[in-house]
Amino acid sequence: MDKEEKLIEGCLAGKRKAQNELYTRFSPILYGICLRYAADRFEAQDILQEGFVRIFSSLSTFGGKGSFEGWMKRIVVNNALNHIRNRSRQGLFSEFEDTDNIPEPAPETDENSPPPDTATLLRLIQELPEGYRMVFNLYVFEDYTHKEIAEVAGISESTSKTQLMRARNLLQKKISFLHQ
Amino acid sequence: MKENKDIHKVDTLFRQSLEGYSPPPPPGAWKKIKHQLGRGGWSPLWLLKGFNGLIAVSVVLVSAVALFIYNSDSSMTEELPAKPTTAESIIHPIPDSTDGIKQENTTNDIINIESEFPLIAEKQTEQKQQSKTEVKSEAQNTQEVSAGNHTADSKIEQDWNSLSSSDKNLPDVERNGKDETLDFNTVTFNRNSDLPEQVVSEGPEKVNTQEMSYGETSVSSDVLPQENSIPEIVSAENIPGNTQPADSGSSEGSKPTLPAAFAGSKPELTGINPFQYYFGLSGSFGKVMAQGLNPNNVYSVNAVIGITHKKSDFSIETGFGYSYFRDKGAFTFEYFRRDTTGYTGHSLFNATDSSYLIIFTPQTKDTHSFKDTTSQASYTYISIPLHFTRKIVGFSKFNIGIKTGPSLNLLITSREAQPENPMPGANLVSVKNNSYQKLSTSWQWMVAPQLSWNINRRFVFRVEPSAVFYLNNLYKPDNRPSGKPWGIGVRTGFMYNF
Repeated sequence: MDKEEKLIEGCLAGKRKAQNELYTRFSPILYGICLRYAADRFEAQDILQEGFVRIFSSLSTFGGKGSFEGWMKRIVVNNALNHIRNRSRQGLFSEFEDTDNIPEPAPETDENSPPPDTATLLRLIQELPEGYRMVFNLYVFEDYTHKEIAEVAGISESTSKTQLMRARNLLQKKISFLHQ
Repeated sequence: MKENKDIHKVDTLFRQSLEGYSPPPPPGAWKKIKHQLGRGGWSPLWLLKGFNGLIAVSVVLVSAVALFIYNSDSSMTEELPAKPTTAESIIHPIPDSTDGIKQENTTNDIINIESEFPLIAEKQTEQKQQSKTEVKSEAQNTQEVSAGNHTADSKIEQDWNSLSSSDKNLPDVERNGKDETLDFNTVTFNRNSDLPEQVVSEGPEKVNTQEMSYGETSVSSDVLPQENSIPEIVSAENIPGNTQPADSGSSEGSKPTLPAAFAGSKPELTGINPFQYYFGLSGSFGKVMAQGLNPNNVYSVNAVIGITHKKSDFSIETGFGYSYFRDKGAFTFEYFRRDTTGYTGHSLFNATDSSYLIIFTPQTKDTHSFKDTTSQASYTYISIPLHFTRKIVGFSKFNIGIKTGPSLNLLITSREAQPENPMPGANLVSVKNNSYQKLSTSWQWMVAPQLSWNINRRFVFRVEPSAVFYLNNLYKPDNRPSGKPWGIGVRTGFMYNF
């Protein structure tokens, strides 16, 4: 039995020490995910807390198949999506339905310019409208297809594509602005 | 087959920078998670936080004071001998030259002779004026005279000297080593073991009884009740057969009373403990109910200390208990299933080789299904009761009373319900936890008829069918039953009277 299995077993037994160890070990990577989906760090903290509570309460559903870290990431991402949906249901859907106006492509950035640092990039994502941010995160980081995004978000594929395009253009514009 | 994703350079930039980004989590997050998970670990320091701490400290203080009172009261009771013992010489200072009493021992003399002997002398004066007096003094053991009583001795000597020579010609005082009796015409008053505390000393038994006789009526230790045996002040006028007026011969018109040592003994009645202390151990089983809640079981054990006011049959008790709530958690599992209902096909013509490519596209139907499950949860509380009991009716060995009062319950451990997937192979979409989670602090109020059976003087068996009302609910506000919870149960146990 490896360390991870022992940790899971301890958490299943409700041992606080094991839960704390699990949290200490995985909270940084999961918090990074939360920060990408949230508008600010306070919301990210809420998502992280809810995510961990959910992880601990549904630990028995983890069958041991596949990566435990991947399983936790999925829970946190699902939790982030639920959180965003619950918080801004109306605005989010209206945003998604607005598929008519495809934005102009953003100007190309200078290839030789140094890329912005991680904190700046994170801030740029957080500044995106919620719909853009959700689709961009799912597409780029979670490797979802537009079809999958459409299923998860309850939108059409074309809406997903439009949102992604807008997100990219907006980010590119902001990066260009940073370079100027 | 997964669609071909178009990868934009913006995607690459962000992915390279932020994938695997692991910032330190916010400092307070774990604490909040721990709180949401419930109290898994218990620290005694937690009890001392906030209002809980105030209550806990108050209860500890009250208990400590009660114990202190009990201990000091017990020690006082122990000083009061149960059997007639030493009434170590109270009356002694008649000079050897006149009455022949020998003073042999010089151990501690307890009585405040300064306050007593003037009255004795006064009594003797009264008797001299009435010319009816016989003074007879008997002593079982020799008198004890301490150096500290020289002042009293000299005063008595002065009193004695003030008498005329004929007055001094009193009958000989017999001292046979057993009793010391002052005969005041009509009454014999037997002063025995229940002397007030300040007149009883520890030490070798010298005198078993001390009698003061008033004529023919005699009250001896045998006829005095064992409890509350300190006699009332006996005056001459309320003694049967006494024909002398109470104030005859008294220069101040006061009623003739027994010497001050006896008069002063009356307040000592307060030394008799009107309280009964007890220790109780009990166990209980009950059900917690509410509208919208399946009844849950609760088991508890309690240890209490209590105090009963004997006269009013009113008791108050406090202590510690340990309660174990066995609950059920509820979960809703959501599953997703995609069924293929058929296929649609279309053909593509390949002009280069004039072939057709037939493409089939499956037709699917998505189904979301839900399944409810339950699993066990448990909570343990430490409880601090403050219960009041009043006896209503009593038979020979059985008593019926009513007990009521609050108790503070503090959550010490909790094991939340864990979801158990009933369909492990299915595609699980979400799990919703519908479980009611309990509060960390619960105030309860109990009402119970109390049936007691006195097995013997010490042990009492009790049965209490109880009803419990959870004053601040029992469940967290975000998810709780629609009705306010309450409970019924039976508590039974033994009580030991100190």
